[in-house]
Amino acid sequence: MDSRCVVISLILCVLIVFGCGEARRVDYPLPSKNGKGNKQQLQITRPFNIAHRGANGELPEETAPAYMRAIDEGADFIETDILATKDGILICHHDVILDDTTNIKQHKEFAHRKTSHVVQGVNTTGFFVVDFTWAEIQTLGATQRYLFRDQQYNGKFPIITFEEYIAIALDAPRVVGIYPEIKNPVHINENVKWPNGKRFEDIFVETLKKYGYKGTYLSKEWLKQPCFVQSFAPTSLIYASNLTDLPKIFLIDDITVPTQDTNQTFEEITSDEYFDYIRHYVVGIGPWKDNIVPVGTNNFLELPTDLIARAHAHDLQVHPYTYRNENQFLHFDFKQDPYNEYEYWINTMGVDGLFTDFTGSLHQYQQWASPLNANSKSSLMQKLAKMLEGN
Amino acid sequence: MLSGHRFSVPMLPVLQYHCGISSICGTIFSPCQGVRRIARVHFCNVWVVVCMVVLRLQVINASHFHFRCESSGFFAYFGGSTCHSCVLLTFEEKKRVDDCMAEFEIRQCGAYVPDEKIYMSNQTGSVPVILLLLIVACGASRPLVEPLPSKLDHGHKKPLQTSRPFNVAHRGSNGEFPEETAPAYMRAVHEGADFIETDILATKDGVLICHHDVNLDDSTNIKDHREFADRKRTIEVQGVNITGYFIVDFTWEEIQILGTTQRYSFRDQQYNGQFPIITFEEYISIALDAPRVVGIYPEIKNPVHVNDHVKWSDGRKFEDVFLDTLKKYGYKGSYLSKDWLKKPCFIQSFAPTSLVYLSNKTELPMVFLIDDVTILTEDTKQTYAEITSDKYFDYISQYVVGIGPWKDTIVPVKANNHLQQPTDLIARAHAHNLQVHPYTYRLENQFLHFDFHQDAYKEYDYWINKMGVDGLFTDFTGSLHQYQEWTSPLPSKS
Repeated sequence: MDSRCVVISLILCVLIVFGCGEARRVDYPLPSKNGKGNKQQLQITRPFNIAHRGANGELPEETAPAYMRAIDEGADFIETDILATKDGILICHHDVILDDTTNIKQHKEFAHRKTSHVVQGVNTTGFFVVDFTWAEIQTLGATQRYLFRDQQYNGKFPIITFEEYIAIALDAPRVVGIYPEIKNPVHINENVKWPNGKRFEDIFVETLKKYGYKGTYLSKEWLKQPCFVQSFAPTSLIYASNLTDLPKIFLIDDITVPTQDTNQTFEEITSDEYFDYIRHYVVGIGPWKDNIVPVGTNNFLELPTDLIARAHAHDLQVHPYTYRNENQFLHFDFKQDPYNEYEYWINTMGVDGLFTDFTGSLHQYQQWASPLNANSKSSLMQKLAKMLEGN
Repeated sequence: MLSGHRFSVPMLPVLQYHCGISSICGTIFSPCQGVRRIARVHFCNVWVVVCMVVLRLQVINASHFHFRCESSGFFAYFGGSTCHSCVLLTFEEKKRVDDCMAEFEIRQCGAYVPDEKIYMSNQTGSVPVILLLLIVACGASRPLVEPLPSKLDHGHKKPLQTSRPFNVAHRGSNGEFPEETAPAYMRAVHEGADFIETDILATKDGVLICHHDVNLDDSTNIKDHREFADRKRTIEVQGVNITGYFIVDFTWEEIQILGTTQRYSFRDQQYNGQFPIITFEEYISIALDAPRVVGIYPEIKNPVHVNDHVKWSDGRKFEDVFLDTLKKYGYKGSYLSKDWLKKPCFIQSFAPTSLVYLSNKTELPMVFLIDDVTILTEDTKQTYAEITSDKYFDYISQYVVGIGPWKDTIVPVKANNHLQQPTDLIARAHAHNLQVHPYTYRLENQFLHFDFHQDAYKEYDYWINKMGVDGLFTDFTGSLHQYQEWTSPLPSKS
């Protein structure tokens, strides 16, 4: 009797442990989420409003408040840059160094970690993300990169993980897409190793899959959890395209900067031939806007290049970066008014998405100039009325 | 028809005009003279009256014999020796005028007394001949000179909007052009301004010009003009010692040599030195010439300083000359009266006594400007606290229809560039039936408090919808107009 009890209880324990480990509890809808999947859908009738590093015009970039503010302000996508810590944790951070966006310099305990690496051919000195564990990174406070922006939150918000960023998007009261970048993959893969021989790109895609991100552009699955994967490194995108069918965007740096993995020039990667090639792997390109339309020394625009036309001819979307409200970033054609810049890029140049530091302003512009309910009954009546008046 | 027969005609004022943009004055050929090239014609006043009656020319201003030839829509007038504004000439008209001016070497606006007499027929039928001339000319001019459609019937100009806060183009579109120049004002009109705003100062010889600073250093290329180097001096203005080149030390002729510059280094510098300073009258002509009703908003600027340094020979003060200029162009009427709506105008000043002085002489509405909290009024040396008190509002509301405060005194700003709680200034002003037109709204982020997320449209939204102002002085009239068109479009049919 006793031995059987022991065996049964042992089996039960194993089952329980095993079961608790593997089986999930019954899923019930969270009270706050009982919309039964009736979240407001991603809009796809006008260019995408991409909150570049979150609402970093107001809050330190790539922090939770920056992303939550961006969602509040109407972003279609929240954008981030993914790097990896020393112990392989994927975090949201743009620079490979911590100097310009955190209070690392106040942390004397890390003073000796300052070092130099050659990153994309440039000797860079600072405190490198790849030299810190996630636990150490968590002790830092994010700061506002630009002096002319609000400094009041400096040091108050931590750096977040890729997963935290995804959680913010998934938790939004409407469908909000993510737009993560495989950032500096050459540098990361040189300095960070994962078990089982996995690379940065593997962990990146695994994280997306873990949260159910999948599907081709505009597929049903994709529209539920929209996602663009972006990178400046074409081989990373091609590698990732074997792992996921999520749409990818090929970022293009300034004309003097070659690709970090294939060492190709701007001219090469924007040629028709290259577009012919890369279009099999990506749905679009993300160029620096001043390369599409160069700027004269007098701060007026010169004639546009044909980059957008050729990209579109190859069925490639164009999402230029980065639109900012401050007048130092606005060329005089726009009369210091960012809304005029939006108008130019959306209506004259015909872009398909815009990376902006000021997602609220872009959203406001789009709501005024191209409101989403354009096909609603009331606006139809307005249109009829206008027609009768002879407008 | 005219050659060979002579008789003398009394010397009379000559048709003069002043094309607002180019600042060039001279004799013109009224199209009523027709296509014949006639040297300067002197009209006897009687003939003019008769002519006008016969040809049904509209009398705009009887004292100056302003008239308009109906067929050509061309304006001209007889005046004294001063120059007045005209409407745009057609290309053909302008060419004829240019040829005439080239032949007679007409350059400067100013007293122009011709020394030739015109030879006209002394036949009995001289009157009818002249009239015939005029009639024929007026008729004959039609095929060659097309009337400007916009000038045919001024009664149908799109009226001033009065259903949403006024968009006041502060110094013109000086976000794009050097401030207070003709292009700045014309751009502002084009961009939808309700009012174009200016600051009036006086030159050494008493000409009223559009210029903000009492000195020329920051908005002109005076420093490139070595010939004026010795004029630099120091004057105390409103308790502050200012060193520079003062307008009151330059004649109008000298001022005309200068080129305006863009005051802010972060704005477009490409027009530096290209545009001249303009007169009050040129500014008025730009407003009157607009294709829709555009109001003016001139300031009696630094009147204490001006009256200290500039004297008019007829004993008039700065304020008198200021008002006479407005009257000359037909500006009159109380706020929202029929007269006023045809030619809207607010008179503004930081000096209350100047406004009170003028209030006896005109019904035009006035706005009392209020400087920063530490600045005293120029004339009465009163403090901000005093001139914004209920008691003072009680007093000043008898003379002005509104106040124009600096916006950061209405809602103060913290050191971290976020807004504090608003004061009750607007509420109290409104309670005294005073409009509030704060200054100045600019697009550059250094002027935007963080509450607005570096977005000037959010600032407009705050001031218009939350604070409820009645007008806004802005350097970027186009953006404000765009905002208002998006958020509070005017009814499409009035």
